[in-house]
Amino acid sequence: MENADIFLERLQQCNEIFHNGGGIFNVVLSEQSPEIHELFHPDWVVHHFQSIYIVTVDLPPYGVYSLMHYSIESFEEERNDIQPLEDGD
Amino acid sequence: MQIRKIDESLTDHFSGKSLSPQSHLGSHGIAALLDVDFTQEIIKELPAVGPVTYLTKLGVLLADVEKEGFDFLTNQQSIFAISDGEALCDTPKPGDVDEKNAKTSREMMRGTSSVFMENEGKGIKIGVLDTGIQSDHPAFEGRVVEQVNCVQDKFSGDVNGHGTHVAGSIIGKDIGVAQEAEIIDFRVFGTSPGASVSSILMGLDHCVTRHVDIVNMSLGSDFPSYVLENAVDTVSNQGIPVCVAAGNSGPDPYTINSPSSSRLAISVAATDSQKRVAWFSSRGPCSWNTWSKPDCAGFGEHVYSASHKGGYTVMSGTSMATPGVVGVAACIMEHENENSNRHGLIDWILRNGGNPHGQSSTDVGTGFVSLMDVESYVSNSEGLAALSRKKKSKIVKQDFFKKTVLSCKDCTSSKILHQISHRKDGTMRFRTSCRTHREISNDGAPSYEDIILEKWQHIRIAEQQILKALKQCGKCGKHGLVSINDWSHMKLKQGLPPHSEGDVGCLYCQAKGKRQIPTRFAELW
Repeated sequence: MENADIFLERLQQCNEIFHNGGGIFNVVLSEQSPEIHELFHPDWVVHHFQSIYIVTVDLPPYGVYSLMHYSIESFEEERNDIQPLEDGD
Repeated sequence: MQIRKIDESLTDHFSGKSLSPQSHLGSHGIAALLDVDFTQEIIKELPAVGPVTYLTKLGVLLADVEKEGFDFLTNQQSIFAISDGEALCDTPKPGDVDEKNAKTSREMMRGTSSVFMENEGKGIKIGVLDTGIQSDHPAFEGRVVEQVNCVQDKFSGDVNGHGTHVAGSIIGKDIGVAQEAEIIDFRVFGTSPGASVSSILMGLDHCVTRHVDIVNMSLGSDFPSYVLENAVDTVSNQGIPVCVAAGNSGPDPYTINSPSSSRLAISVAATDSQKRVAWFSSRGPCSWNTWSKPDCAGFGEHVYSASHKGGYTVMSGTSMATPGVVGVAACIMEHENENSNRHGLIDWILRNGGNPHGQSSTDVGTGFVSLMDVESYVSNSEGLAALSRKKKSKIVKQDFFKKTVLSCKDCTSSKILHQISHRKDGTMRFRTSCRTHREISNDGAPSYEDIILEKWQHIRIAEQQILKALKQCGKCGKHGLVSINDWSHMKLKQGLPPHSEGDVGCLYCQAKGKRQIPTRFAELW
């Protein structure tokens, strides 16, 4: 039941990304994940951070369902809002 | 719905008042908060210059638009707010800080420690993920040993001075806490405002491959990045302490930034020179995770350190507190260089060895961490035993929730958990009733028993324990409650995390009821 929920939620996320035209994603892999080329087409891989088990991929719409793979623990769309924390007020 | 807010700078820009010559045909970056139900339509119809990015978790659309696109957005009923996407992230200038009362991290974080008198972090390599470092500043004496660009640009040096100031507080001669340690500079900020998550991931990856001893991250965001938090935890799990600034979003509770909120990060709050929490320092607990944050505090208000323009300058922020704590860690690490578990020991000391000076753990964690404060813990075995006792006294036992909240004082049956709510003072209210001993008032409503848990208690209870209790049916006693309809958002006082209300029904006995709970539990349900 729980796995089915996770599967459906993931599918829903992928559908949404598909409709948004793909995008750049940071993907957390499980430590036992297969070779990266078995998960993503090499052209889609922007960075592979092997020491921290994360890969950044630029997915075209037809590639978003790669995110359904069971060895992908979580993923997030790339963002650029991290700030230096100097207080200026 | 009416548009609530449009940045005045955008209105000026598109009305031609402030058109800059660099603008591409008057285009400008915007960030629009929109109704998620209309995302597809807006993205499809928006006349944007270049690609449109939609941040699904935030419900925010980022795009470059010209006047036509701006007018299109302002006319949409489904747009709640439009902000200037190019002015999101100006790093403030340090001109308005009090230079007279400024102190160095070295003065504040070393004190007159005799145990660490000889320890200046010699042989310790620190990874600094920041805006870059002006490595030829005389204070560094060539100890910025490598500079790695994690951003795809040709810039070298320090983008805006933040990184040089941070590095100065760690290794700067006469200003840094560990003035013999070495730094590897991982520049994760480019010339445009804001760092990308992937550039920070690259920095963390390099920290592992280059075997740094400690990581300094004086950066963060008000919005959680679970991927970044996961990466910080992975680096910590490999034996590298990662010190992360708690954030400058205080003084309200629930303002801890990400990735400082990650479970294994050492989240650093800021204090003034009297070791009182700085007003801006983000306060715990974290609104999206259950563990206790911040972990400790360092000196972060009016800090005198190196400037990227040469000379010295004063800055404030949890950014400035973090390098002081990293410097303390470097000195302990050098002192313990023959201890095979020195990384674990340091992690333990930073999380448990601070001196709170009478302040709350949600403000300063376990307290201000200076070499003076922690020297007793490494100077003899009694110190370590004392630290162990101090740690144990704050641990909530596994059956605490069951015994304190769910046990009826009159019978052996477990109580029903109807509502959970965060309160302004950081405590949490659990509204319960016993199935057997429930009293019904004259108007037919059951009487409830409210149990208030202090913040250090409720943040140590596992979410799954609470969730399981919430699903117990008040009629049949089985854990069969499911959500019947979508959870609705509740309006609460400012500063409280979001709460939700929803109808629930029992799969076993078909009974129906309501639950009012923090939204994070509704999402987990």
